[in-house]
Amino acid sequence: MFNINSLEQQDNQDKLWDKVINYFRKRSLWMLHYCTGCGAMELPPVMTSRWDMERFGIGPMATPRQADILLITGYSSVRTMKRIIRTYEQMPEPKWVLAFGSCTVNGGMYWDSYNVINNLGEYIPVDITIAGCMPRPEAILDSMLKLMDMIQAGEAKAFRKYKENYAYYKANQDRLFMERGPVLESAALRYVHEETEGGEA
Amino acid sequence: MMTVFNIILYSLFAILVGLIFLGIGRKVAARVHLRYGPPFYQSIIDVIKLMSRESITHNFVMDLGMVMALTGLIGTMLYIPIAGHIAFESNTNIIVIMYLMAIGHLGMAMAVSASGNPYANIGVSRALTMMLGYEVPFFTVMLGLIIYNQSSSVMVINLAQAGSIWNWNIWQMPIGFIAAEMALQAMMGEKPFDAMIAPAEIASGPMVELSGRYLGLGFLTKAVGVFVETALIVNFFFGGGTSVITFVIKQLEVFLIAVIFDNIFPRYKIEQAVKFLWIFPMGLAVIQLILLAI
Amino acid sequence: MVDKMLMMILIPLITAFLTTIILKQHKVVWTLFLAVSGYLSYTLFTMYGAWDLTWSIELGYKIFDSNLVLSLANNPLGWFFAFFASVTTMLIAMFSIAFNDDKHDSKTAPIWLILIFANIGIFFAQDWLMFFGMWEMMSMSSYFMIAHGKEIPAKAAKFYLSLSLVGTSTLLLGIISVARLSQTFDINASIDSLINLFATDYNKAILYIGLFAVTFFIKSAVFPFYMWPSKAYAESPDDFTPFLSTVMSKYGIYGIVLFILPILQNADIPALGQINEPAYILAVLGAITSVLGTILAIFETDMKKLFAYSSVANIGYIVMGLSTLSIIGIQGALFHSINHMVIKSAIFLSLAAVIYRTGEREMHKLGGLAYRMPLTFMVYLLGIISAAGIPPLNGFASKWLIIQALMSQNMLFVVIAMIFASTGAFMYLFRVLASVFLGQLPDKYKHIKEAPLLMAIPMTIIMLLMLAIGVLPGIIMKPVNAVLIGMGYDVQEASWTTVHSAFSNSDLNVTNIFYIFMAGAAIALVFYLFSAKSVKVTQDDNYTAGELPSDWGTTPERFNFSYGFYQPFKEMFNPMMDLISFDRWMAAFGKIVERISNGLSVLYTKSEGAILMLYIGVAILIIGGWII
Repeated sequence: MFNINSLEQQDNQDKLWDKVINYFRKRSLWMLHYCTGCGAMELPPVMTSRWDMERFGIGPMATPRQADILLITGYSSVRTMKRIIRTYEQMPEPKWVLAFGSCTVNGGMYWDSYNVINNLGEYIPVDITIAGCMPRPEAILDSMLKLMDMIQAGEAKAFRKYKENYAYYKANQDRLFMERGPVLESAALRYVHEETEGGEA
Repeated sequence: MMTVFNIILYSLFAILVGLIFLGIGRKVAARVHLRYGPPFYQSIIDVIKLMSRESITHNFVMDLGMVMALTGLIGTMLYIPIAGHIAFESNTNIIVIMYLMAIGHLGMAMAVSASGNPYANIGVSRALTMMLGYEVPFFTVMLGLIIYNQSSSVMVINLAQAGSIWNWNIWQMPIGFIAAEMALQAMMGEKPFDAMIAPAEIASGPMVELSGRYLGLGFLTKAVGVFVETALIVNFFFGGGTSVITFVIKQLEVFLIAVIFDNIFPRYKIEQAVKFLWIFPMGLAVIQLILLAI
Repeated sequence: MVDKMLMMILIPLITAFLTTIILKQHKVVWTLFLAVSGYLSYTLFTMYGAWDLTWSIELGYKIFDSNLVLSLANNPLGWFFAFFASVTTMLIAMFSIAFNDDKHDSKTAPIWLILIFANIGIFFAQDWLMFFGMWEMMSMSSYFMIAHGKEIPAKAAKFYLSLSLVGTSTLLLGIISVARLSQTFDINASIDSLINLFATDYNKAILYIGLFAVTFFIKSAVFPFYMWPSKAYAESPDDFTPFLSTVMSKYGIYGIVLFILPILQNADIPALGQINEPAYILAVLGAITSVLGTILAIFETDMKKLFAYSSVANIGYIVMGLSTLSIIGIQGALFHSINHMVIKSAIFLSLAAVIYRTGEREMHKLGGLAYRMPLTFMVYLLGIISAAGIPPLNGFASKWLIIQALMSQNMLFVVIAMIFASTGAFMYLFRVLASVFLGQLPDKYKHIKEAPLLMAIPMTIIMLLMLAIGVLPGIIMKPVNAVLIGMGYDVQEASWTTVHSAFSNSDLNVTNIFYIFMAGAAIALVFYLFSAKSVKVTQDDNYTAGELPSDWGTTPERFNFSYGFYQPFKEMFNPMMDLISFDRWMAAFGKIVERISNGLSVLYTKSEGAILMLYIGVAILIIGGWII
């Protein structure tokens, strides 16, 4: 009855059933906030009585298995990048990524740090990036609403990009970990992916 | 044929009511926090979303366990009279109900343990310890009811309270009611007895590896569990109900008490919780029992 | 036509000597063992209803003006225990053929056969001489079974033997005093004379009953003697442990039902509540046994020791059921005796299969075996569901009967103890499931296989048996009620599906619960099947806050949470546990004695006071004999 849209079905978005399911998906977004940087500070006001994101069905969750959205709240160092990738890969589909602040776009104030990545989108697919240093709670709430619209319209498909272009992401990840050297012995991720043909981004 | 129809009707009713209760509970919690809160049907949306989502399993035991969990709770629910109606011709025995509920707990524990995550096992070990904590006082209260009515049938206890509001057992045995409420708080896993879930500490404990359909089944189990537990209290202390609507309203009332307590208490450590349960509710229950026996 | 009764006790004995000659051919020996137990089961099956079947031999001596006679007679109660015991033995025997291969052969078949001989003798003995002889034979042979020629088991067995010695000495004392009273060794006559004694000398009668009770309590591990199973069960051969737990723990129960219960019911004892004082003592001892057994089981890390304590707890339920002195309680107790046989054979056999494959008894060193041994896992799972008393399986109906009986007799605090014990049962039962069968599979067990076919067959039979009895309790309840009618109780013939209780509106249709369960399962399955498909991941793909466990040198064994599974709970009880530990008390006592008598110190400190117990036994005999 319920079926995850496989890659072939990607274009059949106008089916009624998908619209119905998308409605439920957008109305119940559970987020896993990976609190890497200062952006996490802006989340409590969004969750609590001032802006109250729960009225849209958005709520915090404890583990990646339960979550729909991964929030990367600020700069991410190489060390945390490995954890982010593993966490992202542990999330079941459909999943979305929200990147906070300018750090995740161009490195922000850490742009020339030896240990901080500049563009998160090179390593995992990002659905929405929120500008600002730091973004205001209104901006966060706005991005959530935007994500909900995108889900309803069937546009938020970044997780599929990751599957299709896995070679590209994997190469970037490997280069990052290779250049900076592994922090611990086994830098290799164990997540087994189906090999897809022709990954170009 | 009628029985089959009844069973489907009763289970769907319990699931629906349970989910709406959970939604209302979230709404009330939000109002306690001075928030607007999600719509009352939020839990239904959550379950449908989870069911339609990809899910991750570690092995066959996980599937078996989650189905067993829901099975146990639905089985229990079919055994409980709802405003005098019952899905199945049975004697509505209290001990059967208590033991049938256990199969749900066992199934859930097995499923989450099968994931091999240590957090899940810690959660399960806490949940089972907590179970020993609340089951004993809760049963002691029920023992008082059984001795009082000389019957271990929920239906008989229910019917004995018919008529005036003053026949309700809440007036006959107020101390027992307080003990039962405390035990109920632990039974529903609400604060201060939520050491087994503890999201900030052990990453939501038993649920740590559940995703998609498994978490959805877990939600349904929780919903039916809320229905069963509140229905038991209503049958025991609030005289059941003349119609299904009054019955459900009484249930909601019992549930909301639990929700409000949930939102104003911090969390006990597991051994503190068990000690508390064995001292206060157990003491009250024993006092009630002695009062009844004399 | 040779006497059936005589054949039945002679065949195990002859086979025992036969197997001694060909002990090296383990396949032949254990097949013979199976054949004997199969023969016994068949004979017992045909003996049902033939209550006039007897065999006796006159010894030609006279004591108390009556001829000494050794006699066996078919009686309903003995038949009931003997039949189910031999069926269980047959299933275990089938398992033993596969278990005792070149590597694991314990070479104990001859002793086991002698034990079976004693087993039949105890259940059919008609006079105290026969009973005592067989009881002694059983104690001795089980000592050798537990020791099975190894050093560490021998220590545990020594402890068991010395306790048995205390038991047999009190039994002997009791027999002599009762026989002097009734001027004969006949069991039924002694019951009558004790009932008469209650009218005249209450304290003396209680003392005599107490002497017997100590024996029965020791053999069934009731409260003051709860500690031997954890030592003896753990060290005995793995395929013998089920026999220890299922059959041998019932000797005491049999003794209580046979001898103590009729006296307590019929004698003129002042009532206390709805029962009487000795029965209350029995109930309290049962309650303490089950609570203590449960708590100790929760703390155990060795899976065989854990289930040894679980057996102790179950014996507690049975004793509580008997102490109600009501029909329902006795029904429940007898029913639970058989259920316990079935459940514990399922559990111990599945654990034996695990030990056979892995050679490991400590739970925290195992894990994830469900994925390699699914059948064993299923047997164990159904076993614990029954043992926890969850409805669609067999443990439920008997526990329900016992609880109902206790409640209808207004034994409120005993009921609370029972509920505590049976809720606590979830804790230890689940612990083994989580630690042994679920969780991470260690690398060294990646390649183990399912249990061999000959082990799988008896386990599957037991699994089906649990389900069958759970759905149709009449399978056991019909014999139970037939036995009770045979013993002179006023009961109706049992129905296949329904069990009755004393309360209003409480006839429980167990089959209906099964249907309800199936209905619940159907609805749950619909939800399960109509949801999106799931993806299978490897066992180490777990949420660990983004870390890889292997980065930190964590192996699958260490990734399991199983060693201190109930640590917080244990810490709650630690101060209390020190107070009631019998071992510690014994050790302390031994130390004091050591100081007093320096010269004899060696005798007291070795093997946990075993020799001290031996002296106590001898002392009881001497002092008792002198008083009488």
